[in-house]
Amino acid sequence: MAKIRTFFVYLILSFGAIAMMLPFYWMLITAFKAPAEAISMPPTWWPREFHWRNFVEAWNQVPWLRYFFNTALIAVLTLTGNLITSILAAYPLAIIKFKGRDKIFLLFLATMMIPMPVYIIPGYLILTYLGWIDTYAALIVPWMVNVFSIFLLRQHIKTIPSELWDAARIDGCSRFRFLWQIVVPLIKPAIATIAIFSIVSSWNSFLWPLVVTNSKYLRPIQVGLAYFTQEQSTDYTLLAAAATFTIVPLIVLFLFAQKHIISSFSRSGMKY
Amino acid sequence: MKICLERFFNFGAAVSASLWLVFIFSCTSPHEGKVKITFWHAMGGSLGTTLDSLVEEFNRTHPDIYIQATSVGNYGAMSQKLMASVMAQKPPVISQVFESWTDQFRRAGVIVPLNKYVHSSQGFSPEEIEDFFPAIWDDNMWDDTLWSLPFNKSLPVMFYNLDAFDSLGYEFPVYWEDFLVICSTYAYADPEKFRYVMGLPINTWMFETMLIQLNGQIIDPRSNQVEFDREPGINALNMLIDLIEGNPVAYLSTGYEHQDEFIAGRAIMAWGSVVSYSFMRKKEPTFNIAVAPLPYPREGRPAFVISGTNVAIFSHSTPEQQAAAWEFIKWFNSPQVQAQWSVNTGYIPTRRSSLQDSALRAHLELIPGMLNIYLNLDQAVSEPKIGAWFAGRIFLSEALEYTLRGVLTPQESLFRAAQKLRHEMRQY
Repeated sequence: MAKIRTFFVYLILSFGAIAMMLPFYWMLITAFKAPAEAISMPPTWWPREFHWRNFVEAWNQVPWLRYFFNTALIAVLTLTGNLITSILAAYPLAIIKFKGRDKIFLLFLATMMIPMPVYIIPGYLILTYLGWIDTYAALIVPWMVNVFSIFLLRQHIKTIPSELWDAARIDGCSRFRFLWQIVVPLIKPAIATIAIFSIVSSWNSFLWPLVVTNSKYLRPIQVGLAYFTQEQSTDYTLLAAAATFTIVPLIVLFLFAQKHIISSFSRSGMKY
Repeated sequence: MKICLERFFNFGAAVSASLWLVFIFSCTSPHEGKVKITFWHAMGGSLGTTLDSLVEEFNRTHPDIYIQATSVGNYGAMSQKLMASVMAQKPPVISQVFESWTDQFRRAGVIVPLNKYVHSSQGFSPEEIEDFFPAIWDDNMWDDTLWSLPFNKSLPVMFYNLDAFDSLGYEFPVYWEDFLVICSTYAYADPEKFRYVMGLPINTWMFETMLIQLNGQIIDPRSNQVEFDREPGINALNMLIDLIEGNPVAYLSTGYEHQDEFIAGRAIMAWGSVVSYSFMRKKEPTFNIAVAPLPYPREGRPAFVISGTNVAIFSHSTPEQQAAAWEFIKWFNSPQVQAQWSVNTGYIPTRRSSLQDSALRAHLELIPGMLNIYLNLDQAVSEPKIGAWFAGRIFLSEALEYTLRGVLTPQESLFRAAQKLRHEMRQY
């Protein structure tokens, strides 16, 4: 009975894994196909001939090194700012009792309902008055505060027993020290989650960079990918080749971070 | 504590280094002593490369002017960026604009009327104005005032598998009725080889062309009344329904799927923009592609609805910049440059005399049927150029979707779209 159960569990997991992997596999084989083969029907599951040239062409048509640098810089600085502001905002909203705390939190949450197109124009106006249009600051600073991150951290911090703060206070610990040396290590899983969301979001940003920058030297990777989708057509093979090499850094990052993420989760499981 | 401080300083050093890099990369080299023109466009990929090379040529041949072309990615992003920059009073000197945007911008007084340039010694002679295709020129005129000059213009056409037509001894039909007969023939001729006669994307452009061919109007330019929900519009929509239901030769497709099916040899024809030809060729079809005008009903008339953008000059710029911008857009509309632009992108030239260019002529003669399209550009008709039409197109697209997916009748959906457009027009 147990064996049958295990078999079905693995079967379902295998379907899930295949469903997750299929788009990546499709992207990879399309990257090697000839343009005609990429749209042939029935589809070919293995390229008839490997067109390595697709990668060379895709690489040569866009200044990828510059775009990689920009994206990495935006991702790292945005994440840094996001973590600092989120931790500092979430802690008082979760632990410190003050008048209007819940209302402020609700106000924060309400901003999550506003879709991006609504705040593009006001955002542009603010950046113009600050003189930040067409600078890295325009790409980084507005995203250094993220309400979802504040929400996630607040919920995690709320689960920390108040006895910990009482004990720390008896030992003469300040609020700030308690935050950095006790709270932050305890919410590592949430921080890891935020890090992934933030980096992926920076990696995928498209509309905002197009609106707030003019120089092509300030553009991120997604703008480079859009080069292969133009009016009246999409170049599937070159787009797939470019998508393949642009996700490599993210996959490498995930492979390195995977161990830390899982360990953070398992450690947190023991503590809570 | 020591380790903590060390980590803190390491982190600080990393952040400072990044900020320095930001500063260093933010520095750009100015083009001193030249009149600088910022130009926002939405041309990407090979279209953008062609535009960049033309801008480079202009900069090289006009040493006092520097055109800084910036790709804004797509029209959606450009619409947001332009609106925002106008509100911030920091628009570019020139930008691509649809007619509906031009209408909004001219009412807001943020673009420059071009009459003082066009009628000056630096402008166009009456013969040169006559040389522009009428619909393309008229797209830029409001009453007697010129507000922009044409930029990228295209037409809807039918692409067909020339080899398949030749094998059955057919020519592409001129009339809609013959088109239906041929479609029916192909629908049953070789079902193993051709899965479909054609894919039918839900697109307002084809509907608008059929409406005009049936002697209808989208909006009456004299009375400013919405007209597409009248009999010709209902008939045009019924013709599209007939393709997928009554006389089933087409299937509803999305995006550019219908063109991919055609290139892959699974459909015999595909509707599309004239610009699509070069992109379809790149996908290496195994058959010869030919081009033909959209067939029209016997009781109707041949017509194309022209689409694309123009270039306007924003009034926040200096008089020197405005004069230099005029020089650029006038240069861009010269017959030679238009011929070059057309050969490399597939956009139609704005002027008749471009068709005398030997390179363009040779290029067109290589594509079966294309020269005939270009020689009939006088049949082109403009889309409405009122500010509300940007939203009106979306309402019309919704109407087509509702009807072609069987939710509403043509009368119901077109009336609903027309009512929404009338309401939108009252806002202006």
